[in-house]
Amino acid sequence: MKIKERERDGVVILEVSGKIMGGPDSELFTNTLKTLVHQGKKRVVVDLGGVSWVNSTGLGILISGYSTLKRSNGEMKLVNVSDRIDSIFMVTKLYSVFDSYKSEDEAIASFAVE
Amino acid sequence: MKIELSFPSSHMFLGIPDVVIQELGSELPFTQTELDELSTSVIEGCTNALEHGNKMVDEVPVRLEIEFDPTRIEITIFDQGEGFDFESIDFSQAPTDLMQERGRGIYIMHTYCDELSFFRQNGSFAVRMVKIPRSRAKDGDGGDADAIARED
Repeated sequence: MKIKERERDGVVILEVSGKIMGGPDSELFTNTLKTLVHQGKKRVVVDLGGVSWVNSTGLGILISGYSTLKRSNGEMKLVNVSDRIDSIFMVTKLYSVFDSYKSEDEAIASFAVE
Repeated sequence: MKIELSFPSSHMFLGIPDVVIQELGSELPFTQTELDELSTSVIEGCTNALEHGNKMVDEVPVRLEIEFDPTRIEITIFDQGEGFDFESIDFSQAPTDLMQERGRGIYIMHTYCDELSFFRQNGSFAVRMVKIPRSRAKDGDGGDADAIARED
């Protein structure tokens, strides 16, 4: 897994690529979010457009990241979720946990209406 | 026909079975969704094998046997662990705590595959999964999604 970080309109965009599958991925994702929280950056969009697949360990990594932000009164939204990953969210009912958007514009706009 | 492959017990190799299944399945009458479901299941099985079975010891391989024809793909994943008490677990139930970070792998396999079973063989623990094309399953040749069998 690789993470490319940028900011737009006060929202941090994390462009994730590769596979989310455990091992060093967990530490990388968790540390990235903890660093953002420490910097006071608590509005985060995770772009999964470059992710080929997620396993159940990877689901745990996403849940952990979501919880890290939630505990700090932040929020994590997802964008560009592939059909394959969306299917796993449906099967595991995690679609009811993660806010998922079709485009980055929609995800960023969703912060403004809250 | 049959393919056998093995890889060291490290997460970095989990993409290998995905590539093999996608390539193999493209020559068989499976939809992309069906291949993704099977591939995700195999990745789950391999993740369990290398994490829980082989305890992440690189030198201990995860071994796969892939048997296939136009009517089905059957994959058996072997590890060197002791396994678990699979006869006492209801795999059809999703975790009720959505925020728990582990414990979804077998449920995903059970949901995505037409057959799922666990067994021990010659000192190895194995999970066997079968995927049948839906076009075929509609003709009454589908598998039993609730099949949890033990084969010694």
